[in-house]
Amino acid sequence: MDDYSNLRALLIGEQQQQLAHLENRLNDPVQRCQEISEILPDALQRNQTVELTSALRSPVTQVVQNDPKTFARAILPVMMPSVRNTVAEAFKTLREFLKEQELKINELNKRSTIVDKQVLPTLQSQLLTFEETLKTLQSLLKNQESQLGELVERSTVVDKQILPVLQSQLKAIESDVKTLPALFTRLQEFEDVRKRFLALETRLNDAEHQTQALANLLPEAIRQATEQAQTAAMSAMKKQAEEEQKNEEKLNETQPAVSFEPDLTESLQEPVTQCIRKSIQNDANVFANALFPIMGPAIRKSINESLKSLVQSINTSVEQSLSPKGIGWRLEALRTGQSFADIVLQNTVVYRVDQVFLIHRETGLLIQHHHREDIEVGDGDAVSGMLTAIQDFTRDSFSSTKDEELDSINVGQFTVWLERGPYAVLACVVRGVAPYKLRATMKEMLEAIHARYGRHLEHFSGDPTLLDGCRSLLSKTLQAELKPEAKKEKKKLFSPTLVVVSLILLGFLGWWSVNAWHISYVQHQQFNLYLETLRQTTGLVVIESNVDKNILKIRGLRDPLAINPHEIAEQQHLSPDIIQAEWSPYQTLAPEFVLKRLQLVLSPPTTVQMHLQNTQLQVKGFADAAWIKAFEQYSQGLIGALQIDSSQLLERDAYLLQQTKTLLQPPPSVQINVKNGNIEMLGHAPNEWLEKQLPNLKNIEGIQLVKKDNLLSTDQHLHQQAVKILAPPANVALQVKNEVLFVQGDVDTKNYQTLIKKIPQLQGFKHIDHSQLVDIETASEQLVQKIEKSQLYFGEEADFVNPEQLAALNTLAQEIQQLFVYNHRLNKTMQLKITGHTDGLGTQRRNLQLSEARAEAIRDKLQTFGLEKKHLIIGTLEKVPFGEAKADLEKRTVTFVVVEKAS
Amino acid sequence: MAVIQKKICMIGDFSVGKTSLVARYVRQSFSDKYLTTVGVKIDTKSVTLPDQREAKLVLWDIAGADRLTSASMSYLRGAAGYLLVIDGTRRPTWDAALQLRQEVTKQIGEKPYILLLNKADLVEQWEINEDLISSERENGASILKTSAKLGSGVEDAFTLLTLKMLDVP
Repeated sequence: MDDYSNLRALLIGEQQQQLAHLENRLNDPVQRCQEISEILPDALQRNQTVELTSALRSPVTQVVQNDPKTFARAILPVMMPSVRNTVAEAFKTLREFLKEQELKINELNKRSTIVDKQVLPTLQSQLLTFEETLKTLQSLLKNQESQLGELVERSTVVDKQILPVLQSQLKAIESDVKTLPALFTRLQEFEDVRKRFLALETRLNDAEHQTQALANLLPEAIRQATEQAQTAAMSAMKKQAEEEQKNEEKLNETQPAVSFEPDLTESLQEPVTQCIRKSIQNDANVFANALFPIMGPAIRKSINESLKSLVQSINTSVEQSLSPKGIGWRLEALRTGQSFADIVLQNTVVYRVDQVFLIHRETGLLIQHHHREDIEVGDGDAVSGMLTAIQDFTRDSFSSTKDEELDSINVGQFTVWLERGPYAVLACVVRGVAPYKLRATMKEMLEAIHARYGRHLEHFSGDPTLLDGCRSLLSKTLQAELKPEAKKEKKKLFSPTLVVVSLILLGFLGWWSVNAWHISYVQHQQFNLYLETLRQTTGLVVIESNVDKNILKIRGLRDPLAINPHEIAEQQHLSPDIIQAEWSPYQTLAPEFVLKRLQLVLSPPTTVQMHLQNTQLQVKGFADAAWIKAFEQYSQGLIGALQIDSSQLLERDAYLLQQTKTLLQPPPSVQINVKNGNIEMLGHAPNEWLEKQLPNLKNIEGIQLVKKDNLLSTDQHLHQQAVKILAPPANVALQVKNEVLFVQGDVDTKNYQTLIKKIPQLQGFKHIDHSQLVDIETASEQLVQKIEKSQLYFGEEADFVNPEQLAALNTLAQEIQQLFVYNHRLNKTMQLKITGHTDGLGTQRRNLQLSEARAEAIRDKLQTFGLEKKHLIIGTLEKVPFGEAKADLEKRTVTFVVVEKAS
Repeated sequence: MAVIQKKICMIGDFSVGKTSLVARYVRQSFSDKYLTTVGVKIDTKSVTLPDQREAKLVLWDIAGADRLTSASMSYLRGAAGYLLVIDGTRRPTWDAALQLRQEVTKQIGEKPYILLLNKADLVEQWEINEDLISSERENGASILKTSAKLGSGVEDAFTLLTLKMLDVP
């Protein structure tokens, strides 16, 4: 039992310790930071994926936003030359970038799924293993418990069998049993341990938690790693420096060991570059906004600087070449055989860095070579090699310990300063006396280059383009300092011993300095601007110009119509006193001047427009005949226009007529006469034209008076014509509507025939409608015939034989009515005699009564239809039939006769 | 395409013609006058290889000696390749070259090199026989016969070395 519990305690204790250690590791942020920072550079380098880029994007953007100055300063020198290119290319590549981005996103998605698929299963399987181990442990426990049971059983057996012998043993077992609670507590502990295991598991499983934890730790880790890298670099640099001083052989051995390179920077470089690139692609505004406040002024400043230096160099060169000092220098140049520029530099410059070489230390190959524009340079590669060889040579030859190095070389006015880093040597060729701070600058430069390009420098294989980025850094070393200017020297001239001479010299100097001041840059610029403006002004030709005694002398040609050059001078605040101009008159053929001249000579009325284009003069509009004649005469000798198109230039009346016709589109029936600007319109036109087109007349300019009394509408015109030709009697009405003639009226036969005969003479009508012209004489005769033919039939009595007879009576009534109307028109009074008839049945008396009754019945009915009683008379039957046996239905009737009423 | 720079050293006993080979190669000139090189002299030459690649050779013409001096050891540093020059008319320069090759290899490691048997214009005075040459060739050495005086083989020697260097990363 003891053994067993010991074993178990040992087992559990160890696991607990391990667990505690594990937990400590996990929970101690410092240690975790340490661990992560150790592996981070590697991990980052390995994991240069889009994923990392996107993860780093926002913090890096934040960093850039927080301190854009640093970035801008770093980027600016590189950007300056490429800003222009970039802008142009940016647009071009924008579309490509977008596509690329899409692809990248797709890739990202793919990768994330890969991570899901590949990494998660591994974790899961590890977990399973964990669980299995736990299970095994549990089963082991059970097993041991059962064994314990067995042991107890066996002990009882033993107890019973060899009780006396084993009593002591039993006691021992009893004491063992006492330790059982302790065992239980151990078990309890074990379960606690298991819980912690489980907690650990869940923590390990929870990827989100892990990411969160890592995100919390990452900034700290990166900071630590950065610090480590920096301290490592620092110590490496120091160590390197120390090593160098020992000896050459050792250096060679230690070199591979000195890995001072900032791993983190290197590792981060690619992803950060990528992520900045991507961020810029995604939202360039953030960067642009962050950088603009610094870049804007910086760009402006750099432009200002270059302008300033230009002005300065112009000023100095002008001053130096014209000042007495300059003359002295020229003499010196002549005397010593050096170039004037060299002498000037010697005398004006305290020091100036003429060339900078960045040399690969091991091979002596030239990495970068920078020099001022104005100096001559030899074969940089050979110089670079030779400088290396010289260093080797001097070290080997003069340094006994081989750890002293050549720091500077003096050649005449030049000093070559050498500064060494682990992988590269910086050599500055300085003219004059270089200040000590230049040395410091060189050191900083070299450190910066090593920090940025350490890896490239270490593995430099002869391809300098990989290190083109150093250019901007190196250009900073091309420094210079000018000697404090001539003031002091001027003071020397006031030496009391040379009062008289100096008075004369002062006069001379004064003249010189005034001269120099006058011909200052500003005035040159002003003159140049003025001349440039003159050159660009049409009508002015500058033939020659020069500045003599501060006076700008110009000789040139001037079109009298051109702007006065004095005005330009005034606008540019140039005093007329310093300009002497001699302008000879000439005529320019510039289109605007040709036109101007034309206008000046001919003073065309406002109604004439002239355009000159490509030597073709186009004249439009109208004018009076006299002006047109004058124009034609002048234009024959016109210079500056090869073709003259005056087809659209018209005499005023012709123009007005043309305009009227063009604008109004009058029908051919309208005649337009224009005289002295007055328009007369004759003829006739459709109403539509009169209403819609004619009012447009007011849009034509230049019309004095419009007379349109004799302009009729077409209908009016046709009506007039019809009246004239038909000469209708008073009761005939003529009406014209939309060119259709309506002839209406009741006429006697004679008039009717006359009119009908004349109608074909009418012309211009769309249609002639004379359906309403009635020959009432004939019409009434026809009516009489019709009425008198009419018969109405009765039954046996005075009633109609059938209902149709009533309808027939109605028709008859209308005809009778019409007849009476005609008769009235014809001034005739007619009466209708109604006579009733019977057949021969019955008595004569009876039949007479019946006939009268029938006639009266009809008369009454006609009255109800509106006929007056006075026009209706009852006729008497001359012969009344009677005594016939057979009924004759045909004779049961009424007949009508129209009679003229005797007045 | 970027112009790759390469450092080449001229190695060999004194008066074997290293400087003359460089002068012939860089300036197409030759002088019979012997001027011993003190320390080192540096020249450059741009080469366009048959495959249109371009390289700039920085030629370190190191003072001749039959053993490496400490000075010439530092001149060797960073060399991408070297020409081991032998005066065909002087057998000891052959032995010196082989000795030098070992020392150079010890100093800068295995680098492309070519053995140049110079003074091929004086072939009748040669003290080096073909057996010697072919046995060395069998050992893997590239051997060319050159004449700085006539110019034969000079251009080829530098081009061949450049090709070897560029193909070795």
